[in-house]
Amino acid sequence: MSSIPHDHAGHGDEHGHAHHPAGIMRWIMTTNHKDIGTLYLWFSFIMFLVGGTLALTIRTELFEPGLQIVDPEFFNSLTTLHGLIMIFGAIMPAAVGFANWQVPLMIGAPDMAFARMNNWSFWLLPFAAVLLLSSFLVPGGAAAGGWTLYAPLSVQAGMGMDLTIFAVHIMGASSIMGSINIITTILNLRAPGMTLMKMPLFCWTWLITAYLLIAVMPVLAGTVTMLLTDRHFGTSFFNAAGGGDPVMFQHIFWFFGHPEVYIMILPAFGIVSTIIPTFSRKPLFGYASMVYATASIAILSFLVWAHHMFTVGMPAAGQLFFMYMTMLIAVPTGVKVFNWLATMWKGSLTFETPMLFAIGFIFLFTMGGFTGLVLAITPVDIQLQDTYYVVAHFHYVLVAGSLFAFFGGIYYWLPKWSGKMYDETLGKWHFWLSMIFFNVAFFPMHFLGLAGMPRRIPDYATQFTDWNQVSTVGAFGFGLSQILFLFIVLKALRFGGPASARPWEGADTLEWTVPSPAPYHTFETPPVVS
Amino acid sequence: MSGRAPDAKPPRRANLRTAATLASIAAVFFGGIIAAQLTGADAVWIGVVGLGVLGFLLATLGRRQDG
Repeated sequence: MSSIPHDHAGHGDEHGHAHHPAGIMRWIMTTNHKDIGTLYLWFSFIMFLVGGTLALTIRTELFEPGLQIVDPEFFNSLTTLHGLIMIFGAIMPAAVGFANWQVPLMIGAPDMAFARMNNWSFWLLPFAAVLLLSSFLVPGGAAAGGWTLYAPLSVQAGMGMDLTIFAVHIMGASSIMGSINIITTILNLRAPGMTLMKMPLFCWTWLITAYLLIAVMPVLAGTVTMLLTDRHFGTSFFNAAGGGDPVMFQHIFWFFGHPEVYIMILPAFGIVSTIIPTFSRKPLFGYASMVYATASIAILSFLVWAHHMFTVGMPAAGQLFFMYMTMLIAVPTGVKVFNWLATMWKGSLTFETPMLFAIGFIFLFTMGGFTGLVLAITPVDIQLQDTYYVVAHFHYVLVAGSLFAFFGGIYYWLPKWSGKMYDETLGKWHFWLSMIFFNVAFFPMHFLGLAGMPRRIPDYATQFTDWNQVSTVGAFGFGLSQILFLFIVLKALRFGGPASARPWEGADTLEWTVPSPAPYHTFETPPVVS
Repeated sequence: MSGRAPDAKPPRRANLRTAATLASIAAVFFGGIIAAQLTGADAVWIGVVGLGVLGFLLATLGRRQDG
């Protein structure tokens, strides 16, 4: 990682030209990476609350067997929209928000390479979100075939599916533009002396994530375009009645879908790789191996898609290939986990809120990784396919993975972004409540899955009642804990004490050389990195 | 790969070149996935992936920073 020999606080000066529109027009017209990062983060939090509300409705329905508050069709819409909103509306935009704020600051660039395109990338998202949510209001209701939009159900569904397809198109375009911006910024706008192998690991993980997005988002866009033409223009790409192949949809979807998992988790790896050295007061252990492990994970992610569809039928050789490839991903992932632990080993550890979330991330993400290894074993996967075990697995990876890392990142960088310190005691309360209630909500799902409870059902056999009730209590606790998070952030913004330029003793990346809050314009004169 | 020079102007042309390469990769993947399904030919798949890999190499290694 880079080291900074001199204090470059002077580079943070606004040079007397921080003129920008005030009020709402500032946010609509802005081309400033910090403003756009803030917009992404607030948008993703709003969508997180919307997706969370859908999840709590699902959990309320599942509190008892039998149908309680929603009909089965609407329940299917809830699970579908919960997945789509959380993935495309919450996790991905949050990661882009971090990239917008941090990548230019960490590489010493004055802004993103294409500032106007950056504005456009963000402002596409609210329209996509409105399209997606308005699908609840159209005849036939919202898409109900699961976030995977599997054919042939999606070929036959109502108008809500069309709105979903258009929303996916728009969000895909936004992601591709954002990725082009991030790659170009990192490749062309690094400060003098900031070689690729001196970049903070967060920038590396985002560079690789952006490449993944460029490769797979067009595949998703092409897939849903074919779905659209099957629905309205008489083609039969996935319609078996016309000679198409519904299974092909699954192959193409998961060629996008598995790298998508890493698109959501790699930026989280980058955040954790930034937080842990800071609060261990040691450089990141095995920096180069972390970079190569990230690249290996990205490459392998293209070779494992069919582990999502072992049960559709494939030759034994295919099953073995995808099983071994999936297991192979555990190697670079293990490298990362061991490097994080080695970074902490004999470090001068302190446990501020960002560090708690980073350690919580390692613990829970590793558990999710292990259940992923279980699911990689073909015969086991065939037994557990479409059960709550799978639901537990991917929530451990994506909620305790991505989300915990993002919370850690917000606590870590909030002083830099806002110039205000958050309430450390409340931050720790937020962590422990999230940690406990997350496990109460999702750990029982392993038992339910192993006992055979299928996912995506509004009703279930009575023997599953107890663990479902525990899970619902945990889900509400976890959801309410996030209201505490909102309170902590708002309290910090309104009443927080002033933050110094470098509030964390062990922080050594470029963003800590500028004052807090970071000035509107930074690094107009590039800093020199030794 | 050592970052921009201290006195460098914003590398606008280099930025546009990188962006154009990346956008064409995205276009190739988008068109390619549909073309592969339309024609059913393996050659299209292989061509799409090949062009994508070449494009990534071009974007990463073939760039210039002198604007």
